[in-house]
Amino acid sequence: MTNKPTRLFQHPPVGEEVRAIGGVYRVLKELRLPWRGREVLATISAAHFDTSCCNASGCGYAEVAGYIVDWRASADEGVVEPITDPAERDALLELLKKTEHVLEVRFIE
Amino acid sequence: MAGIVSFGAYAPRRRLQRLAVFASIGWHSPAIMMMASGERSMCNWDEDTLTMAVAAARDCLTGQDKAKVDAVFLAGTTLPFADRQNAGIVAAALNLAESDLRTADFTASQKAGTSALLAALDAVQGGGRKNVLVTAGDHRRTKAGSFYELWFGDGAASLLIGGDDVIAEFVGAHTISCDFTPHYRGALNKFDYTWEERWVRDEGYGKIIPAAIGALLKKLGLAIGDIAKFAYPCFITAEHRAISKKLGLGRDQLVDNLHEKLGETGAAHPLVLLISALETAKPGDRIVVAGFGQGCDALCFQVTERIKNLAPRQGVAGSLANRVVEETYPKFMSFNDLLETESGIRGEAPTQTAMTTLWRKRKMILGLVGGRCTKCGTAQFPKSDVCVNPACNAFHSQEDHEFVDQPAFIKAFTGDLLAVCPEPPAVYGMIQFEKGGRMMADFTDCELHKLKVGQPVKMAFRKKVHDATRGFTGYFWKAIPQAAAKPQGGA
Amino acid sequence: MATGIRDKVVILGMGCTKFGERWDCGAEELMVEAFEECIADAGITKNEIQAAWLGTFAEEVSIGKSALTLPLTLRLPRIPVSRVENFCATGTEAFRGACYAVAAGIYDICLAMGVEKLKDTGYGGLPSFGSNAGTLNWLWWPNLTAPGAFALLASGYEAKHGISEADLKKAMAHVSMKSHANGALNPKAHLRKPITIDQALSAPPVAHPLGLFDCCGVSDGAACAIVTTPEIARKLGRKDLVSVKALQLSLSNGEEMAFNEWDYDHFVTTDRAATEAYKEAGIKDPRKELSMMEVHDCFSITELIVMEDLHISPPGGAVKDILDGFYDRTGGLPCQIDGGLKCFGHPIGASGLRMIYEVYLQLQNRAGERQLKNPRLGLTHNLGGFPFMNVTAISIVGRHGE
Repeated sequence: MTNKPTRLFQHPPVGEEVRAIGGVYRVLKELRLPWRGREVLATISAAHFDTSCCNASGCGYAEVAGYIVDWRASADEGVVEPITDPAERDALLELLKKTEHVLEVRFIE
Repeated sequence: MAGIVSFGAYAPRRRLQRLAVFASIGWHSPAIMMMASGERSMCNWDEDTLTMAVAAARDCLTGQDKAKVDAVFLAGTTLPFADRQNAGIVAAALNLAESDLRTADFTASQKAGTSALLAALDAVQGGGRKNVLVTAGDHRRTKAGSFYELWFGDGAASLLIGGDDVIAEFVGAHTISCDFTPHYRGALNKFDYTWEERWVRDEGYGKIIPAAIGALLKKLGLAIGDIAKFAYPCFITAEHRAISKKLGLGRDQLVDNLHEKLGETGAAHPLVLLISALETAKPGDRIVVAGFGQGCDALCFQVTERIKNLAPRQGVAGSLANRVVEETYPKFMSFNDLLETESGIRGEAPTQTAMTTLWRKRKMILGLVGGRCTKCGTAQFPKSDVCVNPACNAFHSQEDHEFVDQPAFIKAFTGDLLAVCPEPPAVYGMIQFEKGGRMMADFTDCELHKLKVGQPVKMAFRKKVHDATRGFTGYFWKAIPQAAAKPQGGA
Repeated sequence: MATGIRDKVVILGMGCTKFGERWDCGAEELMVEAFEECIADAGITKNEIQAAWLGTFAEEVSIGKSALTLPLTLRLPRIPVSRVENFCATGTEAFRGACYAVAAGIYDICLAMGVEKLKDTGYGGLPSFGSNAGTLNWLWWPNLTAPGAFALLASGYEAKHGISEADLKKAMAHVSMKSHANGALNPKAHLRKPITIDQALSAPPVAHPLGLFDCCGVSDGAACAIVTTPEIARKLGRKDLVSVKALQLSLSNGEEMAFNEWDYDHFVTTDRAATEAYKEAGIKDPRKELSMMEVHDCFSITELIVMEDLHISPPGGAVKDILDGFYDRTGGLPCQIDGGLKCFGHPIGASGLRMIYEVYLQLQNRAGERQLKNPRLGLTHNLGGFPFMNVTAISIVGRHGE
């Protein structure tokens, strides 16, 4: 354990379609990524913009919640330590782009 | 005294890893594993021979007075227009004065680059021209999974030829012209039709280059040992070395063919190699450069003291250093039209360019020339009949104002997944020129997640319109974000 | 001396179609659907309409040129009809034409119709005009879309006000959440589904930093209004009249895109149009006096910034007001009561009139589950074009004589 700040993380409803007026997205999976001796929690999602205001498009994207401190602290929540170091973020970004083929990687603070 | 006044070069920053090509298509072309090492440069989707030639020419004009340029010779075998002078577009992009400017395209042979160089030297020696800007580039099309795909690279080189202040004096030249045809490309064909490499090697490179260089040295009364560097192309690296043995060159006399780092850049390649030799040359050094194709041009230069004073520039060394690794071979296929990708019905929008509009606005579009109000001094883009400064609004008050080299920074930016783009997201934003003026601009050669408001940008001449139906390529200027961030917010 | 539009024109009737992917309708059928509701509401006959204005934006993909589709469809008795187009302000422009004709005393009763049929293109979204967008624009404008051009506001706004992207995204998520909650109560909305803040924050990027829930979509739809003078309305037996208090328009003059003063952080035209509209309507403190607003929420960032340009939130203060719930249905100044563009989509020609329709219903206590308590003045706002070059239209509608 480190003494860096942690926060609760809500496990997303994997597989459920979320519909907006411009398109739809779905969480494909929660990824427990071994990383520098610990485990990082990332959500991999995909989107299709089928009724947006300008053109059809879509993408895959990752949201990095942080280092897993407690995978399931309660029924639907876990505890994570957010990743804030820019160099670490860059390295994870490159890795996730390569291994998960996502277009954007976001870090949740 | 005619010679080289300045030089410049350009290579696209993407370096396609040859092993990645093999990994993708080696199942089809197992033989290319022999070549599957090192990297080659590849054009971004908004680059072509012309944009690279302009980039090299701008590099060449670093620290030079472009008003003195009175001719532009463009060389390449992959120029975008079969009939519309391509050198004229280069001249417009450089915003050179139109009156008493000579422009010419040199094409249809791999020795077009050295032939343009020779023509420039002749023009200066004959007194007809004082400063000829030679720029050469190639973006050669190859079939997927071919050796040529791995041998070739994309790039450009430029030399300013003049009579004063030369950094390398022209000593002499010898040309062999013969219809030796290693490959040909019919007027309406997309790809070269290539003959057996062993014949090209033995009867072509192996005989014609040594013959031309030998004749040149004999003509000049020089021996191999009098020459510091020999720069000649040959994408078969073993043969490149074999020729040097045949000529009897010492280890340090041969200029590397750049196969490992760049690939062969077609008609530009002899000039690329010459520049790479000049970048490390000392005053007094003699350099022989040769261009091969339907014979061979061999030229000899001698470096002068002035090379020490040449302003710093990107050149070949800088172009090689500015690189990003590209391992996605289908990207190369897509950018080179080897893969029919889906762009949706929205991508079917009309793409016609009005020649009348382009003619009226040629300085704005091709030269990024805006206006500067003579009443209030406000620089603005585009130039218009009414000054944009609300405190002025003067009519007909603006003179031409070049924006290309003005320092600028990112005012606001986005990466847009909905804009039709060969490689989403389309990155663009508002850029602001420090001394006045701003514009909405496409960004290129950048990564969205690294952008910041305030970051400096440089302008680049790029393909803007690709009108496949009519065979027309349109050009405009885009912003390339630079590494160092400007220490201020957007406000 | 010009005196403005205040209380010179009243709305006699309005109609609005269900918005959505109306595979069953062309522009003609949509106009009929809106018109039947409107004429019944107005309590007049079709032949009493003396002049009409038709607003539609992308005529290339629906009705073609001229205003003829309107009289041909409704079989109007050879009266004057004009077609107007002014980007997203198109619907409000049609309304403005009809109101001005009545206010000028040229005609007694006029019709404003806004319609857009976008779902006959074969793909999602507005048409791309390519080189038809203007021969010179084609040669130099960046390859931009509306979401991208508006997304740029985020970086400009963050830099100007020192607000972090994370905070801005939270406020934008709240904007969406609030509109979806409202839209869920509206039977005419295209999308009727509440969303959570987390769903908005976890949405995919569309144009950095705008996510999927920050962007509107396209729909088909039509809305219309019949306007007349207060005197005629009273003669027709109407009570509790709804009158037009202000109609303002402001267009960019190129300074934003070419003169280095604007910081890509707000809408210069909205600021000006708001000042003029409040003056025309006699409003001194819009934050207190307005009862509701329907603003152009094409993108969440637009709605956020517009709250400042309409002089409701102080500069840099919209994030706080939004997060405080000030613009929620139960807040100090409810915004997008009907669900806005986020839930209606954006049939461009119809949107402005759709907004006025909601204010009209609210002022007459006819808004069903969405009904606000005792609304007196409502503002509608359209923003067409791009932040660096745009058209703002504002209308203020309220109880006549108050």
